[in-house]
Amino acid sequence: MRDQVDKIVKRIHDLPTLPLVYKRVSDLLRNPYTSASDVAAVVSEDQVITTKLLRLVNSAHYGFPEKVETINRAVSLVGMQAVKDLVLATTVMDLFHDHQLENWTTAEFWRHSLGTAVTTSALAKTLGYGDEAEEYFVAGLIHDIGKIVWMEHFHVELYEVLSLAHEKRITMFEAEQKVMNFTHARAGRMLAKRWGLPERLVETIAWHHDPRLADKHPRYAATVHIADAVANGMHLGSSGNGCVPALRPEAIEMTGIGPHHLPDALAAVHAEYKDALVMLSFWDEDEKNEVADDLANV
Amino acid sequence: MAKKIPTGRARVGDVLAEPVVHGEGQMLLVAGTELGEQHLEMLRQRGVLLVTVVDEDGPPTTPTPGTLDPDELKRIVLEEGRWFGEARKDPILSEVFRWVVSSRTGGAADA
Repeated sequence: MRDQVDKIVKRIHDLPTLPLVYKRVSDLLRNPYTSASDVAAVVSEDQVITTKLLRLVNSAHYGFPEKVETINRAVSLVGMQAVKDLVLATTVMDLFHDHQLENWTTAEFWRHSLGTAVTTSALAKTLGYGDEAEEYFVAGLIHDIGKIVWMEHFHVELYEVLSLAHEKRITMFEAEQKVMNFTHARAGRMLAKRWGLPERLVETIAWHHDPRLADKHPRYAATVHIADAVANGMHLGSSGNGCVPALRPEAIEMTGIGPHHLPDALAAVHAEYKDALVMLSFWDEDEKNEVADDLANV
Repeated sequence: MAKKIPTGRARVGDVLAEPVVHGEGQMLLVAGTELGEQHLEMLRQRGVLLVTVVDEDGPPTTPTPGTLDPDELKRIVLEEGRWFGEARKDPILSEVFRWVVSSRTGGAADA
């Protein structure tokens, strides 16, 4: 068992690091004298990130009345912290390979992650903390990042975990404990720390299955915990689970969510998920329009 | 004739007019396949949102709210009930369950 743990730890250290632009923006934000144009100048050096960021801020998610043409304008509209998070959101998916296992694919994984991100952000808005919606979006997007470690390096074990989850109708988290004695939450925490991600993201990744263990940012972990279950229920991508995860009562208590919050949140998720898929390059515009037409009557 | 429909609206017995190819080019089902429950379950599990099915000049495959075949409605409720499992007892996820069933049945479940 010790060998397996050592192997996992070693593999985590072999994974790619985040793009330099993320580190540079993070460094800038530690300086209280940094201006929006300083951040914009660094982001603008990367054309791919610039394009994705502009697409993101011009989406329905933001609903700005006029087209945002420059990164400078984008930073001043959404804020420097949010831009830093969005840089992470637009780059993290490109760091890893595309895998097609017999019973799961990387694309399905990212669709679930994106579904959880959109749901987390919608819940944050519905529950009254929408001023941090971008931070919540990113927390939802990377909550399962530990599963990427399995995707990249542990295909045999992952196949066994997924098979068990589907056969017994249990969550992947439960199946991992039985098969590997090591969960994606633990692997993800190690990866997040290695990447130097903010504490709220580290805690969300580590404790989204048990938010009461989050020390400093329990509301993040609790909101993502609920969004994860909702995204599973709505069949947004595939998380690898064999069932919809049950909600922990303390997550409900921490967020103050009630059934009356759901209609607005679910409507927002339904409206924004398709846009989010396009924003982060899962579909092109033509496919998006087809899907929008087809889903309009659902 | 063929029409592209959300996977949630595809029914047992529908015939694929086009192959279902996964995002990265992996062929999941060939054209001409008559969809069974296992196919539909697999497509949902894999996150396939749309399928193209043969659309003969008969009645549309899109259900009219309130007119879904009771057996079909029962099948969807059972299928989602299995997927939600114990989580459905939670009031929050119970709302999600209701929303999903309503979406999949074109509102027929609400009626």
